[in-house]
Amino acid sequence: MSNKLVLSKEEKKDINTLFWRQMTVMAEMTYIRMQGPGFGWSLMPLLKKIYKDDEKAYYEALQRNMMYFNTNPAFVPFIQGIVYSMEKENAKKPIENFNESVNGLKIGLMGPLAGLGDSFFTGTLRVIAAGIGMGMAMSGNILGSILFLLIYNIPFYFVRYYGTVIGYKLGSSYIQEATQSGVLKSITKGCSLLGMMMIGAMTYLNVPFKLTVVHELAGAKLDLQAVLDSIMKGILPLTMVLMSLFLLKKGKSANWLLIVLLIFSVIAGGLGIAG
Amino acid sequence: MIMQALLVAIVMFIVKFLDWGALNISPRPIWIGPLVGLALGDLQTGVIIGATLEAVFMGTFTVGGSVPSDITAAAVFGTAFGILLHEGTTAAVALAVPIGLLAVLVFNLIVLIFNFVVAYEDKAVAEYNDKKFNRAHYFAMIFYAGAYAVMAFVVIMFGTSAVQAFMDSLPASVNRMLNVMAQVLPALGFAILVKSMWDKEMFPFYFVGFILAAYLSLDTIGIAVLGAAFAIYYIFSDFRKTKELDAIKKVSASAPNSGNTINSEMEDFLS
Repeated sequence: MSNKLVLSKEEKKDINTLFWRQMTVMAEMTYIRMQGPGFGWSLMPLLKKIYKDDEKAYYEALQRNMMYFNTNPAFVPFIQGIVYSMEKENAKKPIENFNESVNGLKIGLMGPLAGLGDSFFTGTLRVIAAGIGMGMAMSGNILGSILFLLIYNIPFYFVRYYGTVIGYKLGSSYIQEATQSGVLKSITKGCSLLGMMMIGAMTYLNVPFKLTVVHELAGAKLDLQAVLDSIMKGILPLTMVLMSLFLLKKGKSANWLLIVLLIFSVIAGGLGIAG
Repeated sequence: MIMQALLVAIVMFIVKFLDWGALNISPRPIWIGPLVGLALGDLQTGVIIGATLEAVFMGTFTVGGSVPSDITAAAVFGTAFGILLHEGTTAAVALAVPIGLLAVLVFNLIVLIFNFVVAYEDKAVAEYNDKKFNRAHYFAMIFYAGAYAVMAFVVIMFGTSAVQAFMDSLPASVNRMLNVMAQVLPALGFAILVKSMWDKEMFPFYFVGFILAAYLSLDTIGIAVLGAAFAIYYIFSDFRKTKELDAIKKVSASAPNSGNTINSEMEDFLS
């Protein structure tokens, strides 16, 4: 694989241009076209180079690449790498129904890659980075915030840069092979294993809800929180997360639950049993 | 106040620019808090408020372009008010949650305006004028961050005293309610996260993580390394299993007579 990924000097320059320009893919994000126009803008100088003798073909290519597009930003460069290599082929020898095949490829890839990106970057890596960072930052250590940025962004930009290279050199067959061989499914499941463990840990570490009420019972002081702790450590945060999860899975919306928790806070704070 | 309002506006500009204008860095309270703290001369409080808000907004993230709450605005204003009013993390959380929801309105307005930008760009391309396209794109990069920066300046400049008066008028019991709110909201965030990556085979590991933290007192780094080890082992063994199953399928497909027996043997073995 490493042999296939070697770029000529010229190609390296183009890949770098693409890498930097796609950083602005979200600039004119709308709900109708999403990242589409930004996608086209990122490819602009490369398309100009590919179709340098044919102004009409250049603007048609630009138009073709501004259509609806939306995926996780981490995988935008990968798809752009593929499209770039396809456009190059098309300029050498016009391909039949090229518009449809480019847009079909983009639409076909953006779904699975958005899923992988959301489960790996948003669901797992961000949670791990935040878990580690929060532990330190809660006590005022700036290192926690810096660690968050490093843990999240180093893999993120690594995938973005090498995504461009792999997409350009290996093309779409690579990702199709990955989907068919089932490796993507295994990775997604592995990520959710890790994510689940982190969220479990953070349930105990980052939901600080405790009862503060102390009952006088026949002269003896009864600390309710101590009783709960003796049943199971962190039983309140655990129940709270599991109940919220249960209600979410039953189809209640997050905003509905937010209101329920606000009412709960008002009651618990008002009665003075917590806070 | 004008100096502070200006500095908060600059932080808002930087964060929003890095979010959509360029780089697409994930805008999270954990690093926005310290930036606001730095701007207002209280880094330590900024770090702590940032971490607290991170827990509260754990389950809030953008999926497929839909924005449930404007995390950036929530983090910037929450931290800024927490520091400016000397009220600490409770007030920061109490203010950040409604501000985040309100700011979604501003967000939707800006995204609406972008429809005109995109229409302008389409026209530019149709007219074979890529310079116009360039200009519109650069405008969009700056406009998103700029609009938020103006909003931040106005809110801090003219809103701080009003928020101060409001917070001062709150009785002690309300303060306790806000405390409870700050404590319970992360629970909802974690529940949303679990649901977003729901996989019933993997759900047991949620309890593994919980027990490691609660009973073995491991910190998050320790649990992350352990979890990564489990995950990598799982990925390799699951992938190997898929490949083996594929190989068996191929064998049974090429030899239709013996295929049934292998399949039924596999089924017996698996059941």
